Formats: sequence, C-alpha cells, structure tokens
Amino acid sequence: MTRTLSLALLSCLVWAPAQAEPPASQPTHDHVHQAMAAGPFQDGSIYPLATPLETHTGAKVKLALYQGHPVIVSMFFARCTSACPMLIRDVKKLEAGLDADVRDKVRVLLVTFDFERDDPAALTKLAELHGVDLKRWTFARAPDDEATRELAGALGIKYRRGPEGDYNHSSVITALDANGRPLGRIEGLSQDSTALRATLNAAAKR
Amino acid sequence: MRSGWIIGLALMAAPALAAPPAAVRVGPAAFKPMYPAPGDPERLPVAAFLLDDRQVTNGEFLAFVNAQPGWRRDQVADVRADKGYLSHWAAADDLGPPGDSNRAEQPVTRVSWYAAKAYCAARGARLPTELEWETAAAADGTRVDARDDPKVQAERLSWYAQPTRGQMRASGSGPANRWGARDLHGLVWEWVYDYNGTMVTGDNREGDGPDTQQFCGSGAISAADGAAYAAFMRYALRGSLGAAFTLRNLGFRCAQSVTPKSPTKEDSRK
Repeated sequence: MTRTLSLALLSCLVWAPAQAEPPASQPTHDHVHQAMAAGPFQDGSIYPLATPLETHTGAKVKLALYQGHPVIVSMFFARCTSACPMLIRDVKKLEAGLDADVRDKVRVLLVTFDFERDDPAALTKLAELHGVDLKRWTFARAPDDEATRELAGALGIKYRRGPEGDYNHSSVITALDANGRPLGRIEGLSQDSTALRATLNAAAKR
Repeated sequence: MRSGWIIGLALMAAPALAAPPAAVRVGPAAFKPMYPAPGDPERLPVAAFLLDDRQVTNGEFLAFVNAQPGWRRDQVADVRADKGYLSHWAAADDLGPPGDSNRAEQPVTRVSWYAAKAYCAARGARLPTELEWETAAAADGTRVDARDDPKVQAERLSWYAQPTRGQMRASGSGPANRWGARDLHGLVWEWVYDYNGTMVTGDNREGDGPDTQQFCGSGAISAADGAAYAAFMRYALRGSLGAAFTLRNLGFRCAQSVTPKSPTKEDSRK
C-alpha cells in the first residue's frame, strides 16, 4: 500500500498534470537507449512501448497519450461486424458502471488491427456511430503491423489477418492505471465486469 | 606458456568468434498448413525468403546487448521482457563460466519476442513468420515436405517427449535439411513474428464449436489426427506465449525477405 502510494506521489512530481485530450502533435525525440529502457515507467507499464498512434482526429500521438488517467484499452477493427460492436458495447457498459467522479477521470483507447483501412475518417465515422464521448475516447491506428502487434503482445491479444483482409482476433479489455500498468483484464465478450469496474474505481481514487 | 594462457582467457571471455549464420534460401512453396485458419485456401503461397541456417547464439546476443544497452536484463522495460530474461547469464553483460546453456556457441534462450525481434532488426533482418518457419521445418534431409513420413513424425515427437535437460547442443551443430537449415527440430523452440496469430481455446470439453464469444471469426484448433501432433505442440506452445515471455528452451533465428526479381526456372516448378 505504502509503496503504491509513494509511486503515485513520485509520478505527480515527475510529470505535468495530464491533458484532457491528446496533444495535436508531439515531437519525436526517441533516442534508441531512451526508447528501449523503462525510463520513468515502472512495474510492468506498457507505455515504454511508445507505440506511435494516429487518432481519429488525425493527431499523431504515442501510446501514453492518456498518461495520468486510468485507461480502458482494447483492440478492434472497423469492418468487424459481430464481435467488435459487442466489444465496444462491453466497454461502454464497463464505463457506465463506474462511479461518476471516476468516469470523468477514466479514458478509453481503442486501437485497430486494420491499420491499412481504418484511417482517421473511418475511425471518426465509427466513433460517431457508437455515440461515445470523444473528449474521453480515442480511436487510433498504429503505422504498421509490427507496431500493432507490439501493442497486441503487451495486451495479450491474439489476431490474424484473413485472406479477405478481415481479422480474426481475441476480445480483451484491459484496465491500465495512470502510469500504463495493467491492473486487470476481461477476456471474451459479455463477461462479468464487476471486478474490473472495482479495480478502476479504486485506481481512479488514488 | 603464460601468453598462451592469457590468450586462452581472452578467447573464453570474448563472444563466440564463430562464423555468422548462413542465409539459406527457402521456397517458393505452396504450403499445406496442418491447421488452416478459417477462410484459408488448402495451400498457402510462400514467397521465397532467406532464413538463418541456425539459431542466434548467446555470444551473438551478448554483442547485441553490448551495442544496445537498453536490452540489458537490468535495463529492459518489464513490458518487453519478463523476469527470466537472460537469467542464465552470469551478469547483464557477461555470459559467465560455461554451464548448461550459457555457452557462447549455444542458442540463446530466455529471450522475449520483443528482444528477438529487436535483435533481428539490428541486423537489418526480421523474425520469420509462422508460415515461413513451418515451411522450412516441413523438410528433412532430402525432401521439401517430409511431414507425412511416420518415421519423421516419430522422431520429431520423441524430441518433444523428452524434458529439456543437460547441456544444449551448439547452434548449427545439427544436420542441414533440404533447404540447408539446421535444428529446426530437436534443439529449441523458436519465436516467429506472428506467434500470436493462432487462437487456441483452452478447453474443448464444453462443446465442439468454435468459441465465438472469445474470438472474432472462430478459430479453435483441434488435433485432427496423430500425424499432426508434433505441429500441434508447436501451435499450442505459440498460442500460450506472451510477447514478454522467456523460456529456458525458446530461442530464435532471423529471416529476410528476398528482393523481388524475375521468376526463375525453379519458381515455375511448384
């Protein structure tokens, strides 16, 4: 308990207050060693991956765009007709079940497998279709399969591109703390999200 | 006498001075996967590619870690490698006195997918895809695809049946298969680029349908017949891996795409 608290305090000292929205642009200043080492992220944070992402607004950001907030993260693709709408519905349900003050702090990041076809226009269309709060939700794509697979690897998500360009994939919803550390996950659709909801409520209150 | 002793020590301390792996050309091929993914044709085209003839060694990986200290076991981020990463070495930058698996010439193991991928990238190469790896591994000494041969199946299965113990053979010490690649069987498991491309359901006892609640597009794989069991072991292992996982008997080798060129006589003889 004490250790977690002191890490949280440390993080407040080290970083500026979190932005409400991803920045419009971010300078890339990765040095090889910096990119490889854990840096300020500890305890299994996925943010050292520094996955480059292009959001539904066309903004170029990195994976840690919501650093400072607990994050619900998952992967999908726009042309997915059955599982992905259900997945997004599950995320919305999870979010809706959070305490109100927690919900304001929590962000949602959905990254597509289909980096080729799910451009910002397609992602925006999907976002509007699902009627989500785009002040707290980001749909994004990585630049190539390798970056996509790095993120999927960190989230324990399996996927494979089919011959028609569609994707077979597992459905996994992961909660990250303010430093990108996975706190818990739900595997499969329409699962009981009670535990994950409690985890997020607790994480947001720290 | 004394100078010989010092030279001997220096040689022991230095990473292996063995020759780099040879790149053997595999394919093109029309590969019949043991476990076709939904929607796949019966045979999948595999463009010709270059494959290292042997696994990356401890010595080679040490040189990489020294060149890119961010990949040292005491510097790497948790997300990129678990606690077992390079734990068989004496120190972050030292293989240590030769033991069971830390000799310079042995295949490096206890490396994650991220680490293996980064090593290959540093060489201007990449990890082979699962399809490429399986295509290369279907061969034996004389045949491009020896998978239907019961003797070959038995031999490969018998390796899987043995627990890993004792000293690992040196990388490249096995005989070359038809393509020139060595030890795709019988030494260590190997990372592939799309290790997480096969959806494996944990348990098939509840029902026989694909688990559509878990996986978009279905995809439970089942061992249809005994001949496929060796392949099943590999697919099951890959399906159980996480990107940051490291295993005592999981190593890798690198691959490279072949630059497109005009078709040769060989290409047309499919």
